[in-house]
Amino acid sequence: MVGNLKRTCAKVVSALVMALVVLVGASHFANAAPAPDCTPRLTSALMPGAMVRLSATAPCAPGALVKLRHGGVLFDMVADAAGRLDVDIPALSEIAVFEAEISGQTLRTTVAIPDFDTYQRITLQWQGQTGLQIHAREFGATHGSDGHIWVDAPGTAQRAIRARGGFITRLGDDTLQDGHSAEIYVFPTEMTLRTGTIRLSVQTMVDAYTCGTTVHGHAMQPGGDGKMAQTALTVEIPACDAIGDILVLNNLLRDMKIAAN
Amino acid sequence: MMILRAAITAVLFFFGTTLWAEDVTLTSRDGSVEVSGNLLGYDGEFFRVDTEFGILTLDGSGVICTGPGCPNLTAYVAEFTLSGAPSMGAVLIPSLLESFAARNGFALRRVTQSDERFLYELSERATGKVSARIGFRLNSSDEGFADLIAEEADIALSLREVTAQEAAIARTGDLGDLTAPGRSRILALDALVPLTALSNPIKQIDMADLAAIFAGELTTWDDLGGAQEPIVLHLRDENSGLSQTFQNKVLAEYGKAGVAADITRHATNESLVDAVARDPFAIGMGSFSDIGNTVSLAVTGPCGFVTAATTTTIKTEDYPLTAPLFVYLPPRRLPRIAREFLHYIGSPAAQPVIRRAGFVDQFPAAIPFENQGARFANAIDRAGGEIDLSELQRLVRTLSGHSRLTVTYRFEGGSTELDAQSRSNVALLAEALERGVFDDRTLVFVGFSDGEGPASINRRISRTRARAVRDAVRAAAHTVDPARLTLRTEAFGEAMPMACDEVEWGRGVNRRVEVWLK
Repeated sequence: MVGNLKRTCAKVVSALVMALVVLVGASHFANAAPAPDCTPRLTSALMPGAMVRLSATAPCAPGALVKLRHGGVLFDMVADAAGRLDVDIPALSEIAVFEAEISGQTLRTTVAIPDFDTYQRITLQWQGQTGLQIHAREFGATHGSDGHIWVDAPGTAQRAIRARGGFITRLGDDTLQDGHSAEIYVFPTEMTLRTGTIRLSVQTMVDAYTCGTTVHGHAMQPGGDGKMAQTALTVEIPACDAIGDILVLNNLLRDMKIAAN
Repeated sequence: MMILRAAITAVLFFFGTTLWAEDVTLTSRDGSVEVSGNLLGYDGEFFRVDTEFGILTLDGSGVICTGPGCPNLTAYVAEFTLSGAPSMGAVLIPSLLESFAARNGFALRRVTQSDERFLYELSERATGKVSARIGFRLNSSDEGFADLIAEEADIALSLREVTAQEAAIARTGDLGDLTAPGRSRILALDALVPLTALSNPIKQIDMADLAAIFAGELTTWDDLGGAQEPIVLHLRDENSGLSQTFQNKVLAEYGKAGVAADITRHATNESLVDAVARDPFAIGMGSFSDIGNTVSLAVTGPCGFVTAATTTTIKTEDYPLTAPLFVYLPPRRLPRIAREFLHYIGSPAAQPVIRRAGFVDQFPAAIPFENQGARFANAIDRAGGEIDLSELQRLVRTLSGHSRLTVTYRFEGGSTELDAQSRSNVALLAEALERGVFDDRTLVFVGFSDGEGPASINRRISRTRARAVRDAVRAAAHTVDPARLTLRTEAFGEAMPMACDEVEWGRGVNRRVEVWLK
């Protein structure tokens, strides 16, 4: 009689255990087809030349608008079909803080820049599709020559690391109608062996879309006391009878005077 | 009608500061006095009204304004325009405005149409309220004066002093005497420098050769010891203050009637400097404040003295081609924020900004005795004749243990009138005395002369000049307690020349009063 009870108990217990195993197994099988992880992420990596590579992912937001912020510069970009965005940004402070607003969340990452003081920077930032361009003519370089740095001949960070000259990074997606864009010119002031002046100008083409309009933005450059200072800017693009002209502003950004080391 | 008026107001805003003339009636607060007329201006504090009695200026706090022309007092925005030399308005004044704004809690916005036309909007950082709009119109010193005289600008920026003709025209209008002391001030110092490309082997040039080159008389570099290549000439536009200073101080000095035919003229300093930097056979006359990628040549005279343009030689005016930056003011009161800005640019806080922009500030610096060996060596070298050993020993004994201040006084032509930089130096030294910078120190005003005529007469003349300058400085330092100051004079005549007496500009450099500090 006891033996029968024991056998029955054992059967019940093993059945329960089997059921438990099956249940746990079943739920396991349910998790094996996982729900997608939509968490947006932002990572950064220090690059040579005081540059930072930012990688932003928003797996559930392909083609999403990403608003990026660093050191007073704002620029807007669009994630690709996989919800991914990679951009190289010149660091604007020794402890560089980057913010990305993506899928309604603001993500932040910080990078320490050991070679920050080796370089000097000038930034120009604006909103809208009027393409403002920084043109840097280094040490008397003529228009179109090797030392003429601008968006179509931007130079590279390697060039600056080798103290050959500066480079320009253009940030922002100019297909966005009211997006923020920026250009940052970086020059290796602490490494250069040359003395002279880098002529900086801001240029824009007057075309049918931009004529008669106003561009708002700001510039960051060393102020009267040597420290980086921000000045709000408004540029009035010439009227539409000047279509085809290039507006050249030589005094919007002050020339950089370099003393040899 | 409103759209038209708004459009006209917008145009006026960029072109001038006079408000649309409309009838106003100003009534004193107790109702007892009433004045009507056309409102000429409101600067935030005072109304200027054209009435049947003439132009009246009334304190805004004492009257109530009624009529279509009354300004909106709470939304008052100070507006004023600066017109004149691009070298002053392009970088220097905007840098000073930026510093001024930062120090006084203003945010700044630059609204740009072009490099020649832009304005700065200052707004209170805390409230965002716009406090001032400062317009810039940068064409040339000539146009700056023209705009000031036509009352289309409030402040003129110039690289040269006002001419007699301009002053005469100003007097016939409402502008009073532009030559009066309070009407102009020196913002900073610059200098005219001969520039060549880095690859040019010539490092100094005789002023006579410089004049001859630009007059077209010397045409190849081998005349100066260089290669047998034609000299390529570059100058600024004829209407630029820089060209006019070159004309007056160099070409006229050597009696050159005109300039060579084939000079490349440039609208901006940058264009001139960049053109010269590219061409090993070019020479241009540019500004010390922006030599870009060129090198400046030192200037010499027939007797061998060489003077290079440096911040010290410009501050002391030992370099013969200094070019002060002048600011000319209207006879009426400017809005308070303009007056505060003008005060700031003359204050110690503004001087580092001036230096960083590449210009030379005027504030006195001290050059230790030990750093002046070359000058004393020259004095010894040229002694013999009328300057003997005992006089040189007296010179050395008097000045040893002292430092030379960079404030130096020089004279117009052959007269006893101080030149513009020196008149400004009287005020600067007086202010430094009032601030107590030299309390319990001794200042010695040391007179020197050129070498023309007998040494004893020259010594007497230089003593008279030293006393005159000392008395002028003492008179200008009103608030100073005379007991705390020792102001002595000494005179050494022709004992320590700094330039060649053979040429008039050299004699002008030699006729001076130096200030030494113990």
